[in-house]
Amino acid sequence: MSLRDTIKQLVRETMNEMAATEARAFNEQGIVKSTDSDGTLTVQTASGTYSGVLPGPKTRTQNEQVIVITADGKKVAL
Amino acid sequence: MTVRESLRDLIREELRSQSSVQGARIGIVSLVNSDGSAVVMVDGKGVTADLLYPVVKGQQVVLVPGDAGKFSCAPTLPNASEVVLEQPPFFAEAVGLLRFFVDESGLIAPTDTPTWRFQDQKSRKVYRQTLVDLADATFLEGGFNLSPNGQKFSVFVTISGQSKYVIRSYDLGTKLTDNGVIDLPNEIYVLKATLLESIVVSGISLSTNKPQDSFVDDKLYFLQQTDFNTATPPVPPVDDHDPLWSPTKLDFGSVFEGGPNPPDQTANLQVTPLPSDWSIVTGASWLTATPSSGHETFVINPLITFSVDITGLSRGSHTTHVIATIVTGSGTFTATMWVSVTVRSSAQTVFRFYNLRDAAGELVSVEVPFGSGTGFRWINPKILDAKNKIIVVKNTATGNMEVIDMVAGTTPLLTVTGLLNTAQNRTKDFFIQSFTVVSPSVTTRFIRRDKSGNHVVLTLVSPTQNSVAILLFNGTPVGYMMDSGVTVKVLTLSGTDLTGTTAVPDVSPGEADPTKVRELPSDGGSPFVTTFGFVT
Repeated sequence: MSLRDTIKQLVRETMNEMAATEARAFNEQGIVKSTDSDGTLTVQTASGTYSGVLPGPKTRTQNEQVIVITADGKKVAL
Repeated sequence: MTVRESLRDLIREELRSQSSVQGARIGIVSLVNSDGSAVVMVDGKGVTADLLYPVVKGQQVVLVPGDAGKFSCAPTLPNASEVVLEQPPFFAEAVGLLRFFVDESGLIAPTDTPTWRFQDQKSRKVYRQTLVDLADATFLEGGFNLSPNGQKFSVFVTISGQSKYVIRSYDLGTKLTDNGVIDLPNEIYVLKATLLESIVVSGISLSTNKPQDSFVDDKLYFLQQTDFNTATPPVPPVDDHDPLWSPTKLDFGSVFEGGPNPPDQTANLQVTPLPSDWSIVTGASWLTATPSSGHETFVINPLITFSVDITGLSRGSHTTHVIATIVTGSGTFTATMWVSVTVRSSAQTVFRFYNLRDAAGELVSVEVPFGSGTGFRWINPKILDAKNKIIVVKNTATGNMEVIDMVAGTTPLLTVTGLLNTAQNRTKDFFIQSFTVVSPSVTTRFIRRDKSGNHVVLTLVSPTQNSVAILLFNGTPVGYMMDSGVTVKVLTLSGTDLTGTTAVPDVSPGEADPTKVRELPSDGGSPFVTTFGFVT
């Protein structure tokens, strides 16, 4: 892994940690990979693939582009 | 501290310093302002936020900080799918199409006059393991997990006892509660629902107002009401000679599905000047005119008999026309007469006693629908094992006891006599009166069993006459609760009668109220048959 990739990974790790612990939102664009049976989404973003994403105010479809907001440790698609 | 940790500290510091990195929170809407903002409660504090999407009080939202300390919010969950209450065609009431649907663009108050409320301002959550058709629901009922696999089902709603509406396209469940009346357009009307928490039903009255709101878990969906009076009842064609019919319309009233046809009715047709030829065509196969044609030389107003056959007719109002063609020396005339009949659900006869409880306090809900001519119909026999029997009904005319052996599968009546679906039985004051079942085919209809599996509860009762429903419990009956509407005396076949009577406030079928649940005394632990005697 290059130094650049290592630092990028480090930044992502830190952002995720802060999203969970400090209720800070790091908005990311993502693609809906699937809509799950419990109504949540699996969304792929640049920083990773997240399941259990709340669909937000609209019903989402596969491959739909969404903004993923992290709030109180939960991820919500907007 | 490692280099890695040091770097992460630096990153944190930088991220915190950037205005683009904001703290988003999950909150609950406590107030929706008229200016398009809402107050969202987070950690016990209210935050005013602009609405990215419509929200209502109690809704979970994500609160997103913006510039200059402002916040926006949006629901964390999508709204429900479309729910349509659709009026059957040719409905004569001045109601029109009632459409409930979700609109993400915001709640729009209806612009037309009619508003709605639920008839008895209550709905009931019924535990059903499977259900694809709530057609026997007189009132809207709640449900649970009705469509775990996304099945579609229909719900028929009686509106002022006149007609029915169909709720379609429930792929997300909904539930309404008895929150009373909501004034429109001043108040928001919403429907809350949750996945797999299905259905919703209640009577809807034309008399006054409103949709309901309700709350199920923390998921909320909008329910919007629009399109009032869009389905205009058909207007009979204007015909100068309509008065040739006397009367000018026939109403066969309301009959029960599966029951007898309504009595024939007659009308006179004026066919002057004589001589004349006349013929009649009815607009529907369920209506027959006898005779359907004639040649008159002396009779100026022959009497026509009209018969209605409700076989195959769906529940609801049915209207058709009769067109008479009269050929006279003065010309040819036509005269139209309108004929209507309403087919009602046999659920009108159902006694529902909810909230039966076993000793563990687990709710047990029971429905006792009346079948169409073969006695009671019990659905879902699997709740009982082969050891269980439910012995039903003392025939007060003969003193005989009728037994239903509740084995798995079809549970036939063991005796040659049974329960007759008489016209009297189909009235609201239904009572098990005369027992004759030619081809009994009985299946159980237990909605839910108790937690422990030791108690299965069934009641068949009459609030107006002496009758009994006998229950056998596969286990030790410790005490039971029920909410009928009668004075109850509890007996045991195995020994000592339970003492005294228990007065239960009178409630009408379908109106059982959990607050009226009363506990009946224990029979002391007898594992044998327990008889509930209902004494008026």
